[in-house]
Amino acid sequence: MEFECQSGTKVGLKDCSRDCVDYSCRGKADPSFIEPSKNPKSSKFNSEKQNPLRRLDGKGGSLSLECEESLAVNEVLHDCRSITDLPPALISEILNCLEPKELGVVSCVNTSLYRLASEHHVWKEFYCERWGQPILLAPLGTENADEKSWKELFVEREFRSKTFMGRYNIDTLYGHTEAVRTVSVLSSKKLVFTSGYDQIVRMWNMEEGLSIASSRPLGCTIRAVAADSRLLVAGGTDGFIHGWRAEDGIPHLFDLTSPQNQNTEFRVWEHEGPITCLALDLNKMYSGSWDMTIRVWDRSSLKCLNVLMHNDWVWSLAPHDTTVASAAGSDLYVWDTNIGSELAIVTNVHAGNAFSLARSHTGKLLFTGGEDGAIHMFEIIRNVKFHVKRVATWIPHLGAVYSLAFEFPWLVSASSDGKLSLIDVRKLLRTNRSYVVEKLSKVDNKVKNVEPPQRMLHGFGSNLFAVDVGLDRIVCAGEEGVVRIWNFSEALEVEQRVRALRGLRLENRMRRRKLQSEMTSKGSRGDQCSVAAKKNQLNGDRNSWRNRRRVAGKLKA
Amino acid sequence: MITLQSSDKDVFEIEQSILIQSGTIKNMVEDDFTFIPLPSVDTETLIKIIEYMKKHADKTDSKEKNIKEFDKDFMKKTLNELFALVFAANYLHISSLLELLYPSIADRIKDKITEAIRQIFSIRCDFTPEEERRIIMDNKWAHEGTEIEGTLD
Repeated sequence: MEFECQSGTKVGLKDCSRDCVDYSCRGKADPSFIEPSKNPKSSKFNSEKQNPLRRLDGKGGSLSLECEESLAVNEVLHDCRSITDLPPALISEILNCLEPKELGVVSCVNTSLYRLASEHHVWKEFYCERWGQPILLAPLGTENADEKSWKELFVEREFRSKTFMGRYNIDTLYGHTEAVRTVSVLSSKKLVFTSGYDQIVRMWNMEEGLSIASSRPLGCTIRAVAADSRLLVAGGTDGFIHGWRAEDGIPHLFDLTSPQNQNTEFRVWEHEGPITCLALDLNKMYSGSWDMTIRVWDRSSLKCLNVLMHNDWVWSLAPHDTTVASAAGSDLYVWDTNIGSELAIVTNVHAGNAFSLARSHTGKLLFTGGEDGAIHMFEIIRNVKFHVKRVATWIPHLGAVYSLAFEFPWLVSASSDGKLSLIDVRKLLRTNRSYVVEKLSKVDNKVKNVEPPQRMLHGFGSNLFAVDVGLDRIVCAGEEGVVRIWNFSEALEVEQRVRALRGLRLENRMRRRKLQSEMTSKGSRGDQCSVAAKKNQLNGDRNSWRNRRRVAGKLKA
Repeated sequence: MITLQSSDKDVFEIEQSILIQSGTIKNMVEDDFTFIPLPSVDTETLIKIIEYMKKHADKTDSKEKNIKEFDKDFMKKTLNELFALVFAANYLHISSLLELLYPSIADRIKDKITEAIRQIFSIRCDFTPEEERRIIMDNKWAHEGTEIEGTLD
């Protein structure tokens, strides 16, 4: 029996066809060779005395081996034995079960997997579930924006998510004469809307840090503002919702300055107490108030569709799809907005009031911040029963957490202690979901699993009432009446520049050292040569070479 | 009773009620076939598939836990067996089995570095050296994670 090992053979199982014989040979030649048979019907193989895992299948003569074996032989008939032989559709289904990082690793394996993994539709899902539809910022060349594959977009965005750990610039926006209570960022249009005790809604340009427009005083302290590309709403102490509709032709969407315009402005009166939170959806508008209700409105008709009754003052709300989550008193609620019924309630989430709420883009993760300075993370689980499970806790603040904002993977909180905390939730999600659940069931649900925040930003006065995140920037405002934009958009470029400079300096240093050592060793080389030259020229050279190496080694160390 | 014949010419007689879980077989039965040759499924795989279908044919609530246990054990097979099952289940249109198989195979890929994947699946790297370097650079972000996870586990 011959043993043939052709290392050059393609493991090309992609080439498998009915009549061809393929085999791959790894470095360790297993003495139990397999004789390649050109006749598929042959059944003579001398493998019985070897590993019992090898098995002979009847007349087909196909051999199946544990893949960890150093020799894998595939007698090909109709069943090929590798993942690359599966039809692309099936491979796609398998890849569908993987996380982004694993998919990235798979794409490095070979060309066909690379193609499949990179063009897989799941990259779009990965992107959209974290950040929604990508904002196509004015591209320099429109062709570029379209050609970027979803995978590239995803990888780029993941990379950019590190910016919050980098260097920043601060833009300070002056304008409000009294404390600012609410901030809302509209990333797609690069606008920031703020308002507060001075009753004026101001619109700012986020990139330049300049004021664009401000409304007239609306009649009462404004505690909540929400905006999207079609509608801007504000609500406050008097319980009304004042809104502006976007008009084509207006340079910054909303015309705040013109006198009361019947067509584009409106005011809805229904709440019986101050409005503390507002949110917008595709078709609906949500408002929460100290009258203990949340009202769900139809955006076009401005009719109130549903009233959700709570047990206490509503502090904050976060809608998603057909549900809305709300923080009222110290409890967390989740409602179904179509029926208007309560899906889940978690009581006493915080000691004291639960002032703030944030939700992930998928709607599954909820974050609450409370008077006790703590932040909790919850996950909505919709198995047989709909329930909300606490996943993690942070206590980054010494004072109440007035506001939360979430943009994957960063959770930003603003507190009465004048600080912002930045928390990266990616680490919590990296573990397999079931693993997290198992871990929790063993740990007491109290304060045992408290994590530290990744970063704290501070240094400016007290009482930050509002924060929002967008376009690699964090916007916060509070008692001082000053709006601050923490600009991290250059962080990555700065980091690269710093690293490049450091690399250059290191290179120069190494070069200088090398020159120095060469000069000193040249001197010693001369001595060595004169001594050893009589005996063996070669030896002398070798010695000097060794000397030089030793000297250089010392310097390097 | 329907007769199935594997590629190795082994015949199996199974009740129709069990076999209709397979879309392909169901169609053939509706066309009044009682003898169904399956040239792309070998005997061993066919045995496993029949075992699966028998277990899943009886779906009463009390047995659901048993079925789940069975499924978990069923997936503890070698990769080759799993691939054979995927091919067969695809050909026979047994979607519930496929839904089980995909994550099981994916689990073997999870948390592995590229070289490990190549060895386990017997795939040879067919990139040119420049291509390989470029692709690894492009996917550096993916490799950072797996290394860390490797050490944590």
